[in-house]
Amino acid sequence: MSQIVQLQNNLGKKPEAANPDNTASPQSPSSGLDRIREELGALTGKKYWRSLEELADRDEFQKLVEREFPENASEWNDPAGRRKFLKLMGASLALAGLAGCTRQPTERIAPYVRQPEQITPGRPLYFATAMSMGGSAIGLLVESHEGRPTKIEGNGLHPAARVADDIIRSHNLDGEARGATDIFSQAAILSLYDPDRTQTLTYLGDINTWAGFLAEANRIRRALLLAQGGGQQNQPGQSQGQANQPAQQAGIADVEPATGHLAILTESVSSPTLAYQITGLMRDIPGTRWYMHEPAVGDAAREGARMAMGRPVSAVYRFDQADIVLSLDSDFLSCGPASVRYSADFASRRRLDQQNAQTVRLYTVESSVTNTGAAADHRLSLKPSEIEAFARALAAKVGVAVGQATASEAVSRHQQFLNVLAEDLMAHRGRCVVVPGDCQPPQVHALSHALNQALGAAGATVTYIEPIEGGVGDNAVGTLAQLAQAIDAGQVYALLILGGNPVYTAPADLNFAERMRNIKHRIHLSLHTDETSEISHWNLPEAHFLESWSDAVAFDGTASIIQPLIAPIYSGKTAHEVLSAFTDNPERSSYDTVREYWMRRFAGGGAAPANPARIAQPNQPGGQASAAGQLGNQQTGPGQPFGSSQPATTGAAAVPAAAPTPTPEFEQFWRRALHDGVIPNTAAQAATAAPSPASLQAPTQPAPGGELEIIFRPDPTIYDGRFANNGWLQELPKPITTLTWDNVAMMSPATAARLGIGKQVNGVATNSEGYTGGVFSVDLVELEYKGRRVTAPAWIQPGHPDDCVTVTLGYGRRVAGRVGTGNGYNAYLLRTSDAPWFGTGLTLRKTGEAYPLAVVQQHHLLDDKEIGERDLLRSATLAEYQKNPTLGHQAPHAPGHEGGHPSLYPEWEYPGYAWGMAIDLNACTGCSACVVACVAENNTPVVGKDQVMRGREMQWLRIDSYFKGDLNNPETYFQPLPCMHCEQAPCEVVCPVAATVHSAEGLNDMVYNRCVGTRYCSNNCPYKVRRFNFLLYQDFYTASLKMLRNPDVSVRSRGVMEKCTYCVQRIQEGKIQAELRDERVRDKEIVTACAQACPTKAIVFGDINDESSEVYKMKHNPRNYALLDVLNTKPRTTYMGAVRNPNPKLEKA
Amino acid sequence: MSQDQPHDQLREEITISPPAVIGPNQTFASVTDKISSIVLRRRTPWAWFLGAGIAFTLMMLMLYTIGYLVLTGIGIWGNNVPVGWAFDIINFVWWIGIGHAGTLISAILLLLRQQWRTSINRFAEAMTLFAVACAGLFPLLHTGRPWLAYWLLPYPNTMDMWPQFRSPLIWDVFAVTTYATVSALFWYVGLIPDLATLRDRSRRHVARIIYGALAMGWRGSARHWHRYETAYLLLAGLATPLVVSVHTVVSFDFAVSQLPGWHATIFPPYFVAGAIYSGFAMVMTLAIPLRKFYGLEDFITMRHLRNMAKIMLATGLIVGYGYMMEAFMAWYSANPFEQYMILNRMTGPYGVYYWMLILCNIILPQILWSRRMRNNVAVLFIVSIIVNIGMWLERYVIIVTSLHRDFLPSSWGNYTPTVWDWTMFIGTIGLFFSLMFLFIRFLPMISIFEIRTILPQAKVEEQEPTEA
Repeated sequence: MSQIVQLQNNLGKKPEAANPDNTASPQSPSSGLDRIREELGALTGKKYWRSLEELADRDEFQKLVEREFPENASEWNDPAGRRKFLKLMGASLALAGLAGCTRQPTERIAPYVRQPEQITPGRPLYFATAMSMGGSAIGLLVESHEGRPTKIEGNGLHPAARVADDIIRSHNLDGEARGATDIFSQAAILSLYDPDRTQTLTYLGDINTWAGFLAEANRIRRALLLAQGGGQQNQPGQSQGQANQPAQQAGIADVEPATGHLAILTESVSSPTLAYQITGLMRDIPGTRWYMHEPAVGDAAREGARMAMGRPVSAVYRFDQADIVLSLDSDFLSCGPASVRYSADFASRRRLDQQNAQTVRLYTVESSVTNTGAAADHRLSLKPSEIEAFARALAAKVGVAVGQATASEAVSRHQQFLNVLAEDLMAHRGRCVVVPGDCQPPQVHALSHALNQALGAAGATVTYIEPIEGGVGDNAVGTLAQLAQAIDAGQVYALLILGGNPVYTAPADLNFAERMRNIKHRIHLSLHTDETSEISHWNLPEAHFLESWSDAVAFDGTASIIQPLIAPIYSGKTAHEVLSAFTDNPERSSYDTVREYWMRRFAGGGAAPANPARIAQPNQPGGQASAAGQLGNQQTGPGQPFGSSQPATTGAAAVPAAAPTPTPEFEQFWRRALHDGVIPNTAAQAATAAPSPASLQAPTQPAPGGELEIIFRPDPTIYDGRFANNGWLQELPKPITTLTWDNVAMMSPATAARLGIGKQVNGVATNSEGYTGGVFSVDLVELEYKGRRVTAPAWIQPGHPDDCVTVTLGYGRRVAGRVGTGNGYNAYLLRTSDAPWFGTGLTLRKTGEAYPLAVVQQHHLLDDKEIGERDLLRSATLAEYQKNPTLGHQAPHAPGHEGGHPSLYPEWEYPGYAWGMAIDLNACTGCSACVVACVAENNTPVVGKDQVMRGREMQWLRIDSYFKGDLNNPETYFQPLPCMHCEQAPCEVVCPVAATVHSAEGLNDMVYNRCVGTRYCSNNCPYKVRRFNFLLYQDFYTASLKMLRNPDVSVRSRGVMEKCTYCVQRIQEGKIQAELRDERVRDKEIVTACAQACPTKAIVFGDINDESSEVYKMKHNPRNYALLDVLNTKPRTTYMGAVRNPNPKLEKA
Repeated sequence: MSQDQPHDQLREEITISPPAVIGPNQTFASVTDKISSIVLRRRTPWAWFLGAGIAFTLMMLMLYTIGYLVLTGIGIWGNNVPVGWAFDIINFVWWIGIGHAGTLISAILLLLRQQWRTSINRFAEAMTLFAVACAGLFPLLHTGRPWLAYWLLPYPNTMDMWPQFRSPLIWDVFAVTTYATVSALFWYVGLIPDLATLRDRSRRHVARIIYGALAMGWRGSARHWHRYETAYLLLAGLATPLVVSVHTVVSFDFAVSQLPGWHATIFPPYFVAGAIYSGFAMVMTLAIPLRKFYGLEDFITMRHLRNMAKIMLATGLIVGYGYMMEAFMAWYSANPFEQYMILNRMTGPYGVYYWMLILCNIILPQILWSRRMRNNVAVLFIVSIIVNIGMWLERYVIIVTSLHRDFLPSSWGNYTPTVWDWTMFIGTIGLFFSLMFLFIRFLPMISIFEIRTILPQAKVEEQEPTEA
């Protein structure tokens, strides 16, 4: 391009130089050729020819000859265009030069396993990071194939993902500690590649630039500062003075002083850096306020602690230490920040082997149907409003001064249960724990704290720590309701929403969408374009956590650095970067921000660097800082990451104000933190807190209302709605109901019968099964609560308490993306800020219409004769187990086990490995993490509601659930069902093209390329674990989804049968690694995706030829049994029966 | 009282002299004229155009369905995971079963020297062939990747891959292809003398060339006849075991599996009986309107219809015994899976289909015990249709109700056909009738030369040389 400019310059100038007399007007020589003619025309003789030759030899001329028209001829003709052209030309030249001179800042990330230079194509690398949700984080190890993350695993070093004390260290992944995960972290990888993510930054719906936003942020900042006195004030930091003064000096008056303050609305903040940044901004721009809205967590736990102990401490439970656990409407096994760890700890006490017949006993008092209730030894279903009375009565029995014990119908109805429970708890002083649920009011939390205190649990099985969420400890945050008040008062000049979707999730009475429209500047940072984006001025694409630098703390306060696995795919920004936009260093990267925070903290010996906060603090200053200060004091020993370079100092005063520089010690610390995924010794210290009995005196008076109660719960799979566009989670059968793609209004059979809902079968109301595979046709009902109405499908759930209806949040999304929009109904429309979790006064009306639901499994009572005879799921009480460890099954009645081999085909021989799996039904809590892990590992497609309704879901692993006992309060059991890999596989003999064959190691291999799709194998499979691609389910065309896929697993097209392979790709990888070491694969070196994700280690995989392997031991446990043994299929996957530990005193006669 | 006499007379008439296999007053010339004129002389009746038009439209529907199916995948049908096979295999078995009557009539009855077969064997064989064509479409198209269905054939290939011979589907491939080949040969060989007749009698040049080519130079010489008879008998001998083998092998698709409701040793005989049952029902369904529209009452007489009704009654009872034994074995086995299967078959979501099947296949056809009913063409026609429906329902019940609730209740699921299941099924009926209409228009639907052999004149001639 520059040559062209030169040419044009040359051609333009030369005639003038050679022939200054020429009076041609500037416009007339319109083309290069004319110029040449002119140039030559002025010459004569030899000179002419020489010039001609010279001219002909010139590159420019040759280019001119080659081109018919001079480039940009039209612009040459048009004077205005030409100018613009030249300007652009100059600009691009300058840019090219600049780009060549600058260097991108280096942001080092440390590979977990190997140095980046060791990247071998085809060999994944693992990086540690963390995912935070609901205010705390789980540590993850993310598998990365050539720079693209493909699979998420738990980081066994991280407290929230640790599943056992004996951390499994894999040999091929040197030093990797395997942890477990939950469904949300497994599915997060799909959210990263979601093609519906916000891809561009928009302002008023038009595409804009980051620079444009930075300018806007700067204007807002200056307007806010002007309103505050424009830097004339004596502010502690010099920053805003600097930022403001040039503007004022330059006399720029483009900003009016702000009319109000800057409001920052966040979800629960688990990032210390972000909290630090926000409080810093609150200092820099006085008047800035921080509001927090976490729709699915609520503040009952915080308020309960405040009520009981005067400050919002958090409780951390030690289920591995508890013999008796009482859950007061708490779903600690599947909900909440530590569900993975709690499941692991709980299951470790449930684990039964021949030596250790000890087991925990779980009492659950709950108002809905949850996995925790399903795991209970005794489950009581009460209306949500009755649980407080129950807890109060229990507290009175245990000896807590609770004032007057209100006479409650619920308590008298379950007096026996209460007495036995109280006795059992008191008999296990210090070895029991009471866990209140997030959905229960603060009173129940306060009562639980008092109960734990009285039972000696506090300090033993429950410890208290200072709150881990940013801003909570020092009361820096307001609620959404307070934000609404501030908006009404006209105090909010600009609203900065950092994540979350408040327009959708806000309580209905706040009318948040309408209120938000009154704010002058509305900025929204989000992963997806959602309901809030619709009414925001600025929509900033958010960087997914796998694209971000950040940090996060776990439920116990342990911090992790979140490191990116990939550069932001859609130029997303982190909350750190958006906040920086409002500072004097607007283009600061989150890497710098996070690192600086940790540099300061490192320099401070572990103490959180405190911003001198300007907000009112009723408590002692900086609870978080002081907690961390204690931490710093302790950590002075050698080898500690903090405090080894400098003596620890407490308090904010010692923290240097200037940005610290990285010391070598810090670099070492930083790399270690990135590598390990946890920052050691950052766990919050135990706080001494004792509940004051005075707080428990006033029982909540139940609000008068109708007879029906409404219960709000986060959805089991799509949570508060944030995963609405995640197909894996939408299609994941919700535990127990096995419902997909919808939410329902759940009620008990008795309530349904009373309201005339459902189909009556033998006097019991049930959901009616539809005409195809997975359809249930249910009644649509209209729910009316506090004057608001929604229409919802009614679902009849055995075990649900009577006279109440559970609705789950997260559905009915209007703007979510191609997957999430329009599924289910929006329960937020009924939710109010005064009763976020339950309330009375619900009325329910049958609309008379039917609604189809996609349900994966019909439900069956194990007590039914037809089902019971099938010996599907063995279960027994602990007493029965001790009497008969085979759970009542004396001898397997399959002929194959009597020594003979009753088959026409010869027996297989396995000289090498023989892979097998054992699943401990006693440990399984039905959390479904294995199912999502399998989907993620094996490139399993999402088929959509319509196909699930036709019975064509594709998950290779399913979790069957069965009920036992009284339909009003049944025992629930889960049975994960992968491919059984039968020795005598019925599928193998019937395949006409040998597409499913037996491997030399006992795997039942599926050869996709050979499959023609007769489906005979599926018909002949008694376990129905085969999945057929009836249509083209895989999305082969969406570019971002191509990056998602595991390159080790074939992507199946239509017409092909597929099924669980025992993760054959992992087996092969493990074998190759073992072969390189010239030894046999060691036990647990190879772990299937399901086994790896399992928090309770219910799924164990290994070599059954290896007598030292865990799977071998499990298969030789008396509880071990083969499903459908009588068919003589000899499955390689076997089960260990479930053993419950009911209190003999509560057993029915 | 007055009614008694004609009644008795009728009874007497029937018992004493069964209706002839050919009407009176027929001569060699009249037989040839009558049958060949349908093809060569008579104006094509409007009803043919109407019928062929409808059939052809339905065939187009089938082609459209196949196009959509191959482009989209078999997910357009209602098959799902417990019910991996549904309409596809139901229709396959149904069509294969229908084909059986043709082979039975032409081969076994030939060997048994049953003269009455001659007037129905030609179109019964044609029916076999067309039914096998319809049947063959389903196993091909029911695969997920029909373009690779040739992998079921043992052909030499660079992958050194052979089919998996333990699979009954491979046995099926051999059974059905053999059956189709032998049936086609048998039918074609039987046509040759008549094709020569048509060649000789046709007035149009093009027709003469075509029929001439197809007649393969048949001149009716004694040597020709000698070889023809030998070949035909040999083919009949070859075809005879196929009557039993094909449906036996088809039943192995089910019996070899371990699914309750499929895994039963009674399946082979029960399937063969069922096939003959439905085959004769279909012959009847076709013969009754044909003889009516083309005035062929002299060739397809009441004797034929009555004989076929008797065979239907007999095979229907064998099928009924099969149903009984299935239920008995389920109870007697004390196998909970089998017991639940039969209970679910009778009382589950598809219980109506089961009882409909019992009604159609067992109860209603008992009407054929009555001679009067056997002589009533309308009754026979209705019964034949009912049996066709009943046999289709039988396959529906065997396939769908066994699959939809097998061992693990967690994987149970219902099945409902989609519109594409129906268009495919109805479309093959269209294909079948399109071929049938073309056949009756362009080929002699009754064997001319064989009919001539059953004329009384033929017997006289036979006797002459012995007297001489």
